Amino acid sequence: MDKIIDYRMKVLVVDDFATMRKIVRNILKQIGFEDITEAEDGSVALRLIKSEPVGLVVSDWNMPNMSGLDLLKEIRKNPQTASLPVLMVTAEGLKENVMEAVKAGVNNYVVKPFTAEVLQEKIETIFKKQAGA
Amino acid sequence: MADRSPGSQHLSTLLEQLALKVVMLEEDDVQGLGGFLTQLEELQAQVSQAQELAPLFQDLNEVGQRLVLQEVDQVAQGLELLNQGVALLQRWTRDQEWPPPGEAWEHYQQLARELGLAEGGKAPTPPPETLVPQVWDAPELVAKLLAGGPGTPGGYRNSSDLSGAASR
Repeated sequence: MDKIIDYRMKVLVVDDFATMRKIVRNILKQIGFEDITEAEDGSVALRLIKSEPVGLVVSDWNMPNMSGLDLLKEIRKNPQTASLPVLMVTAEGLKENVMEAVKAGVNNYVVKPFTAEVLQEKIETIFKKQAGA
Repeated sequence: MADRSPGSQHLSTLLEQLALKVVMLEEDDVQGLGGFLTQLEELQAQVSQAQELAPLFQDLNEVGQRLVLQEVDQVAQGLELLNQGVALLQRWTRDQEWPPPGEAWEHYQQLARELGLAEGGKAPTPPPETLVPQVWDAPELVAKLLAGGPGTPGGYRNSSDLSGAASR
């Protein structure tokens, strides 16, 4: 699995709550990622994605200015970023949100609250699929 | 003779793409399932005139969503049902017959039952309570019961009996 995931890639964490960004950042570090950057909403994230080489986006669903779903749609719309892996973070019980994101082309999703093991498993699944594609 | 109209060609192409997608699906393939469900919606819109297919689309959509939400214990059977369902749709475009005769349809229904699907590819039937006659369907019987008439020895004879019964 270590060969499938390049832990040197830049991971972009998108969430309007600074505390949540910090939690996700710490979990990602725990998993082995070193290059982690943050954005407080979808529009900031989109600008970052266009200016820096990002390997994975971990985005919250509910954010001001541009939601996680709108960010995902923008990423998929642009041919240069269309295949960028996106992991959506959703609140427990919001199945409609999950299905909407899935139909919009999200790679995987994780339900809050989640552990480092769960996040790692989801990220591994994404890159395993990409390696097999 | 097979229909070769542009609409039919488009339908065949959509079904071929869907069949390719479904055959590539694996456990935990959230993105693949998302693509499958989106294309299934497109296909359903194309054949919306064929009402007899609605329960099948409902089954496929339900199983696809349950697989995404990890609500299916028997994942292999869920994926198999999607495969079989798409194969049945391909057969329908070829033969224009529903439900299709033979083992494929029986196998599909078996899978649907195992997965606890309400429809199982069948046309919806009225709920059982509408089929069972209820006492209020026979006003004369209700009147007899209230009056304590013939055939109703335990019938209530007056309104005070009724109010007593309600509070018991």
